[in-house]
Amino acid sequence: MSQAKEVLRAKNISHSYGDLEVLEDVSVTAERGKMYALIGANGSGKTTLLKILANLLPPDTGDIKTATEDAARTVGYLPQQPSFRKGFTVAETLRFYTRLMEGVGEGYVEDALDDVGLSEASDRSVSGLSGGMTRLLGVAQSRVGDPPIMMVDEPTSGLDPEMTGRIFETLGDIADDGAAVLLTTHDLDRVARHADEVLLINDGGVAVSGPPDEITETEDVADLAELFDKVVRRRGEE
Amino acid sequence: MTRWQGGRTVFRREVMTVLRTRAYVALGVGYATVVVAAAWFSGGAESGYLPAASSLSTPTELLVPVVAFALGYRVVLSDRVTGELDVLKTYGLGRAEYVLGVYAGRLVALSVVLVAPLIVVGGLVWTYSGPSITVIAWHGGVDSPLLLARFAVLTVAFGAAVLSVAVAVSAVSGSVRSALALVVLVWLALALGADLGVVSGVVAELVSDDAVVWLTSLSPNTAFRGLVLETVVGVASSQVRATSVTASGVSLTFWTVVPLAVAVRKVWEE
Repeated sequence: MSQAKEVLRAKNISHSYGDLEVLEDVSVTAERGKMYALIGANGSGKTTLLKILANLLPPDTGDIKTATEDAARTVGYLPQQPSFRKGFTVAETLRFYTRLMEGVGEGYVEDALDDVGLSEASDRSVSGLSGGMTRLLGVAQSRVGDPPIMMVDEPTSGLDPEMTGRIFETLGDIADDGAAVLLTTHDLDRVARHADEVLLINDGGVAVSGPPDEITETEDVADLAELFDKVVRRRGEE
Repeated sequence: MTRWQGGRTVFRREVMTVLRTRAYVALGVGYATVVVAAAWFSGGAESGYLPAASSLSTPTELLVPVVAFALGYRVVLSDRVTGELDVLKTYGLGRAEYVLGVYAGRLVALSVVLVAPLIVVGGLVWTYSGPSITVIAWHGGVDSPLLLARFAVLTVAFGAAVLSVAVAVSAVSGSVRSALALVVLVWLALALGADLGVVSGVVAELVSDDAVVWLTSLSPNTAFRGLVLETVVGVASSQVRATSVTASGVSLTFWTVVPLAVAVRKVWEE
């Protein structure tokens, strides 16, 4: 880790499920204050890579280093379909996670719900939340302990455009506050607007990476959707 | 996070989960109704603490596994399917803290479900069996509330062992269907397999009479049955020699500790 802003460096990550090799020699770095979007076709290994980077799944080979020594919690994680224990309110649910961390005060719950716009739903049962509100509660959960790295797996799948925008804006705010946010998504328009870096995963590796404007220019395409078609189709035809 | 802070937090959530889940509350009420009804209609509640405990032995042996499995077979599995286990790992929660927290929380709930109807039965005996039972007896031949209390302790120990097996099944299962199938198989093996094995061994003259006393302690069900016969029913008859108390105690301890160790090992890789 040479630069102070760099919080994650993964080198030569490979992973297989049985005989199926999903990732091969993938290297990723992440810096504080940036949002990284992992895009790719279904089954391309985005979620697997995210879980490996979050230290939730051991890679077959490769090395992952994080520069987060002073953090109480290294990585915040939001699964693809967050689902919370039924019978608890929004505030009780978040309070459960805060109690897993030392030094997170009772006031955190109120502040965190305010940050994600769920203050008014504080006393509602989690069973009664919409899909978007459940994701927002998941985002609040993933921020508990102020981890410098956030891993977010398809946070907007199945959500309406308004809620999708709200989620991306919230994640953007978290990045602006100094965390490295890595997310998987299929929402390429939002990626173009919000992400600082894009990693297009294809054939087990990072096919293209860089800021959205730069890679569309370099690859001579109009937008990320065209880039996606070009890379995925091109590789599929080879 | 201190070593057991996470475990305590998980424990509290499990207790609250059971209290706030209508299906679990209904299960507890149903179990209590059956137990109290069995004690009442068998005449045990009017006859004394020992007859009451005796009349409840078989229903308890059949129903406790149902309640314990229902409380435990999905607990870890649900957290895995929803991604909750992955989330908890990012908080630095250890496997043992998680599994023991979950187990302890469910065990408290199970204990309340198992003991509450026995307290009611004890009240019925106290009310309807006449004023003659006033002695807390430590020796054989005298009916006493202590016998029902002893039966309650054994019931909780039996439930603890079966719950441990249920949590282990939950930890190794990848889906609700596989968990259910495994629960049924395990229950059949423990409830019927152990008895049939011993009977077959005796019929085939492969098992000596002395060995039977030990072999009938192998499963949680037979260990519970043996302990009830030895330490509750046996008070009324010194001639009852159903099993080895030591072997049955070791068996219940084994069936509590080993499945929990399996659950800790299998819940996630470290």
